[in-house]
Amino acid sequence: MAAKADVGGEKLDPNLTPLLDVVLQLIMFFMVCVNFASAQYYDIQLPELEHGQEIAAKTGEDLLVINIEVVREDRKDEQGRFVIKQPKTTRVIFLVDKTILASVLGERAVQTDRNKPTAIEFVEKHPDELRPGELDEKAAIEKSYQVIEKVASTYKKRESRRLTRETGKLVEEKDVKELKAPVIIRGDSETHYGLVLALIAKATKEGFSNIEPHGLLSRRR
Amino acid sequence: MRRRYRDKYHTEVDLPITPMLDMAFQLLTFFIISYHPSAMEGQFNINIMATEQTAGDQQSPTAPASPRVTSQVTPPPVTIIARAGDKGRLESLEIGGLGVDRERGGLIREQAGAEGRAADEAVERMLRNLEKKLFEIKKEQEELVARGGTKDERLLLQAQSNLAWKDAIRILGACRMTRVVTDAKTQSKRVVEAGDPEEVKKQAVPYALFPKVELTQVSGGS
Repeated sequence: MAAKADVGGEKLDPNLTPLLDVVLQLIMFFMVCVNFASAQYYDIQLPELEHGQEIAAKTGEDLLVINIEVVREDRKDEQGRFVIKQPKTTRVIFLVDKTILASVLGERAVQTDRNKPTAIEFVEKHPDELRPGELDEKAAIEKSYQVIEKVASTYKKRESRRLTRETGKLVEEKDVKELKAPVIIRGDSETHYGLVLALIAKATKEGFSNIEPHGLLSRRR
Repeated sequence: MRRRYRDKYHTEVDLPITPMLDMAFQLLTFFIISYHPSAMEGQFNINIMATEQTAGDQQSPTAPASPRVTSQVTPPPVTIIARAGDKGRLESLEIGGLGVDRERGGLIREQAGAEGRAADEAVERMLRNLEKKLFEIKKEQEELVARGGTKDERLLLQAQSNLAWKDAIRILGACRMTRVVTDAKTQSKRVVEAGDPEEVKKQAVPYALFPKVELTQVSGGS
């Protein structure tokens, strides 16, 4: 048989190069897609939104993103059994201008690394059990309030300058009552309503009128 | 010409493409298998604000100096009170308010103390129930407006501070966008369920049940 094939003449040589090209293209596509989706904001386990819409495109540079992350850690329960991924600490992470954060939290506290953002972190413990430097929820909320206040006043200053320029009349910072800059609330699904509400309440008080809680769009409809 | 040139100088370079193709397929398989397009991030098209509490309720200890925002003088016509169990999962929903009929409102409750999957299912059932009721309430409001009543689209959500955020955000979702059909003759609006295929076909446009939601807390304990 083999001899016959030899006699039959030419070697069958399929051209594999185009196939290889296509396959490499596909590999590129999947590689890029793997890390694409979570790159937009800080990665958080968001709750599911059932009737949500896709995010509208944000216009303008002013934006306040409040991330509430629950850090899960493996730890032992009372019986000494190992329970994995239990919520332990909560972090409030603001994504705003670094200089604003630095003015409230101190120059040193502010991280420049994008993957390790500056967080106000607190531990769910009784205030007496806290180690030095650890914050309880109350203190963390107070600190978050300061950040929101600072952000609001910065944005109000900017807005007053803009209005003065546009109208030709002097508009002062305190005359700016409403801030159109969106406040994006990205809460972890395990966090609680009280904390989110406290942050929303502060933002409302400071004049932010666009408060948008984010979640993941559920695929079942 | 070309032929002769090739024949004369060409030594055949035989690049072994097959192993390379094998590797490429391996890589391709790996990436296809590990490809999970993560769910899209979304938001609600409803206006959310925190508001001052109704009289009699106290600030919870978790919100120490929670700022008070004075809202409009009249309270929203529809109120939802959400209470949570020890684990933070939703346990009961109470629908009331001045603009709600006693029959339309009422208490939605499930067996307390469920955990894990059972809790998820209980929450699911309560929310379906809530959606149905809110839908009825909205329909009634539309009828009132059509007869010349004033329009007030606000809703007050009063939830216990330890309620899990994933449940709270789903209650917000129940004040959701849905679809509405405008009658060509009378220009009156009719709300239809988003899932109703017959109705959606008839040029239904997106429409919020309660576009303005005010948030506040209830003091703990039920």
